[in-house]
Amino acid sequence: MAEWRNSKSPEELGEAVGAKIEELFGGLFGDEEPPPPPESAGSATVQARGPAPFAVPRPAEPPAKPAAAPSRRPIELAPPPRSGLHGEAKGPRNPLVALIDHIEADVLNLEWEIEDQTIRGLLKKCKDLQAQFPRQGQGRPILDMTNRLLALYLNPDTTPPASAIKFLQDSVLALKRLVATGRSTLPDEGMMAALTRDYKEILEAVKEIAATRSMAASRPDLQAATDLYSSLLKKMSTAVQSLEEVAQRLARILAAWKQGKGMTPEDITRRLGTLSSLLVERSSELSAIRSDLAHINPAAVSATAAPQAGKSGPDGLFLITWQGTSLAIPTSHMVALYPLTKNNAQPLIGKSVITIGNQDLQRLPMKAVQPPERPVIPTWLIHLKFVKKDFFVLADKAQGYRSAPEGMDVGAQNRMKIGSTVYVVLNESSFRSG
Amino acid sequence: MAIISFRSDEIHCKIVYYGPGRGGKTTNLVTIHKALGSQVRGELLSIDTAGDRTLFFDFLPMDLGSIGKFRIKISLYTVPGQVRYNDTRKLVLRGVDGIVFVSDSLEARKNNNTESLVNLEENLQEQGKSIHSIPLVLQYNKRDLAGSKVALMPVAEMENDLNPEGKFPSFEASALAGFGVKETFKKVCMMTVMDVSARLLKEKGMSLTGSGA
Repeated sequence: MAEWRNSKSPEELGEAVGAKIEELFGGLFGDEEPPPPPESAGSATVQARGPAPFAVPRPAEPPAKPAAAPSRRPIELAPPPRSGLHGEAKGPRNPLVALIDHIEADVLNLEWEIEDQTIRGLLKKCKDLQAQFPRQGQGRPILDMTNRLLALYLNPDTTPPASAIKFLQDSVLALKRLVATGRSTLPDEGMMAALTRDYKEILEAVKEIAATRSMAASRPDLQAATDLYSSLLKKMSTAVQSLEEVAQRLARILAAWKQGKGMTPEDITRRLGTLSSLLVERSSELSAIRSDLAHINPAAVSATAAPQAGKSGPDGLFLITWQGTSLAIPTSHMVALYPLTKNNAQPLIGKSVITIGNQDLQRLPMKAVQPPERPVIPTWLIHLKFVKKDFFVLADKAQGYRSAPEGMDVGAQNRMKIGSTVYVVLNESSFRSG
Repeated sequence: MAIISFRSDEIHCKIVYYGPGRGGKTTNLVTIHKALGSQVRGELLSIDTAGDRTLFFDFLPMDLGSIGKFRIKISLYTVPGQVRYNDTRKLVLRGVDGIVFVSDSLEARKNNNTESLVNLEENLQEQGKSIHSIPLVLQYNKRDLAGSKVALMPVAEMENDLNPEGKFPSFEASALAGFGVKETFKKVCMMTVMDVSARLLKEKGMSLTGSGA
């Protein structure tokens, strides 16, 4: 072991790493059966290649000691299930089996690349195979489904989903089982049911994709709005991530400061300066996003983003506590969120109008049902917008974000129960009264 | 790119197992994970979202301990082999230090092997690297199927397809049975550490000697 501790050249260091790996692996394949020597048709040829740096490894030696079983086995190491075909005793090869093997190879290749030529070849093979199966039995229906699915790949107007490849693989497996058992029906009844179910789901998915595509094609403005919307969402995520990082770094500085870890005032000034520039940068990015958002036609975006019938409202709810009351703010009304420190919260309490940048924000007039006994210092300032009018709300506490329930226009609700809490929803009437 | 931390004297190397879909890349990692002691290996993160194939990537970190003056840490990654995940492959290839190309010995997968190797070459080129400038080891996997009814390519044919000039070291293996996995892994680690440390010497003028732990 000593030689790898005093390595001097890269080559020596490399050798030392090799020796170390050898040492670490030694005998540790304890729970593996010693593999059979590979019956390598190529070994002799390879050796004949002369000095090519090719090493034919020796099979792992039988273990000196049993390996400690790993605490967790993330992936099952058992060999993949094989049909009885591969396990059969050697003998003349069944032409049906050979044909299915070819089909399987083609299907595997589809996973790599889908080409019309491959699909056509596969269709032909499947039709040939179909003729070999008896009229009664499950072979033909399986191949019927397979053929119809393959035909979808050749239709330029349809896009089969990725699950179609999985279906093709499963159907090949089913066909192999049929041939291996020599029966007309599958030994496992669930397999045929699963295939039929998957097939139906794929057809449904194909229809949905086609419908979305035709809608987008008929409304170019919709497509442009969708693209812009997606790009803004992406930018927004990056900005939010960056802000989270700033928050983490601030928390670290604060923790170090609290623990008295000897940070000099210069250190702190420098670090806070960096964070301050980051915050300025991100807030300008968010402003740019906001101005981009203003150019999106909301009707176009909501039609694409929420194609489900009945879902016409905003995407989600921002949940807060305000004066002891739980409020849910539809995210479509939100413009910005500002965290408040005690110092900068104090002057805002009691103000009916505040100015952010060059915008005047009016306090959203609300009356607390049960105002808290002691005044609460707000921790968040929320900038809201409703029909070109800007409002603000000072939240005691932010509770989080929830997606809107499927098919529900949350903006049209007055109250919502989430878990055990009933939230008052800020809807149009709340804003109109302002 | 290897991460060299001068403060802690650590070298982190990134090794990627590349190759066609269903070729056995993840199985290689699982076998290595199983074979190494818990003091060396980290948890194998495998994000397996659909059936039995890698749709994102697997990641296995390991700590080989101190060698020379450095602590050597190696991170193994696999990429999803399917064509449609090329963006993920490009992402995983970023900053790669060494590559194991796991090829499938099944005759039906012949084209997939070459296509995947070409794809690797293209993806490396996008990073301004060449397949010949980076430590690369070829593995001819699934050799345990030799003698079964499945048609297997002779190694010579695979060499001719993937390694016509014999520039890359290559190994026959069965990731499932466990043979050839260690040899491949050892070779790529040796080549990668050699390459990284040579760059260290050249670019930083660093000394590789010192007191090990």
